[in-house]
Amino acid sequence: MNQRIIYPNNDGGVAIVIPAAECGLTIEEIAAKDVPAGKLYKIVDVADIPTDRTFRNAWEYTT
Amino acid sequence: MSYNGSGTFQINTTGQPVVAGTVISSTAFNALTADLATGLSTAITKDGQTATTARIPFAAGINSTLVTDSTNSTTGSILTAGGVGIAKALNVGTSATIGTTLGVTGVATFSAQPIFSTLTASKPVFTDASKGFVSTGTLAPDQGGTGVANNVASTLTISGNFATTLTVAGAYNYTLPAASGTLANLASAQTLTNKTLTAPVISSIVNTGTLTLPTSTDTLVGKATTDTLTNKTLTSPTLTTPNIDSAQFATVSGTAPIYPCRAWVNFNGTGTVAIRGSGNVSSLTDNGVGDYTVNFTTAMSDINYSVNTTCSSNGTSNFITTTVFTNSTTGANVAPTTSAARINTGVYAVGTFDPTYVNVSVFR
Repeated sequence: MNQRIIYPNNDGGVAIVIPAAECGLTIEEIAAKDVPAGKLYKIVDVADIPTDRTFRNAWEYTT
Repeated sequence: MSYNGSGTFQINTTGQPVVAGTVISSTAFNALTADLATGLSTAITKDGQTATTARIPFAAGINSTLVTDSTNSTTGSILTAGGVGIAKALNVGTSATIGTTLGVTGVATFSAQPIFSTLTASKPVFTDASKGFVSTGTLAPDQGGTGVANNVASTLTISGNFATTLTVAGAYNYTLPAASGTLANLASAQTLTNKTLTAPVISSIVNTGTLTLPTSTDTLVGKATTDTLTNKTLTSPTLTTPNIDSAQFATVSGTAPIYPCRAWVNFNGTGTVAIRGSGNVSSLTDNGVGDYTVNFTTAMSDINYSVNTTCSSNGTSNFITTTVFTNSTTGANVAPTTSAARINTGVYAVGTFDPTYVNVSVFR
């Protein structure tokens, strides 16, 4: 899948959910299942995720 | 008068006896001839001219040498329009033919085999449903059988090579003998050979020999054939060399129990984090540098599963560490859940890092 799910984690950063292509679930189903309850999430294109992870822990989630 | 009422012929004594040398009275003579005429007319003529007017007693019986056709009703030795009444036994020397109906109110004893031929119904008819043949001996089926009676407990013995059809009508119980060879008894153990059962209903099968099932494509499972079982529950089965999903267990040796991997994932933790391959993993959550959560497609039965994590090095250190159920940012433990397991990768005394190769497997 060329999509990712992003949501704010409890540490002030951002969590990025990478779907497993072999699981047979849609991105929406994965979001409903794997994003913690009550968290706002967003489905984004994989190209929207920075590839430079030097400051990965400093990434923040913005709506 | 000529007869005295007891069969004795009496001569009229008037003018009798006549005396030699005397005139015979015409009156006496005429009386004599009248008596003679009356007597002769009263007697039975042997040529059949006289019809008797009363029953004739034959104290010594009747013998006839007449030989005629016994089946002819007009030429027999005794012909009567009113029937024959016999006070005692009737003995027929050869055969008796009854033109219409023979009625026997007493016991009919057959000392020889009775033959019923050319019957309308082809068999004897018992008008009383509760009566029939009763024999103290053994009769063959073509003789009527033994104790063939309705509504009574009886024993039917069939012997010899007779084609016998037993037709049962009504709610009667017929108990068959426990024959060892040719009869199937309802309640006893029997061996049936070469029998074809059409649509039998079998509640259970107890088999100690060879049970050969027909070649069915759908509903039967053959012992040596390849079948697909759908929705079957096997309780504590013993599987010998099972072939499960590409023969994963075909090379197992020893008797130690096998606990297959419940979930696994191989992913790249650098750059654009991506999953290379997985099983029972719906997604991977990138929590930060060297901090990931593996989400299971199907949840574990409980949280007591085991997580095995390995990863490639950072390219400069040999002291790579992996931890589970830990928040790499805070260092606090993260309680496992049945649906996800959190893992970390790091370098000893340095901190977390993103490996190129991270492998996670879960066992339970």
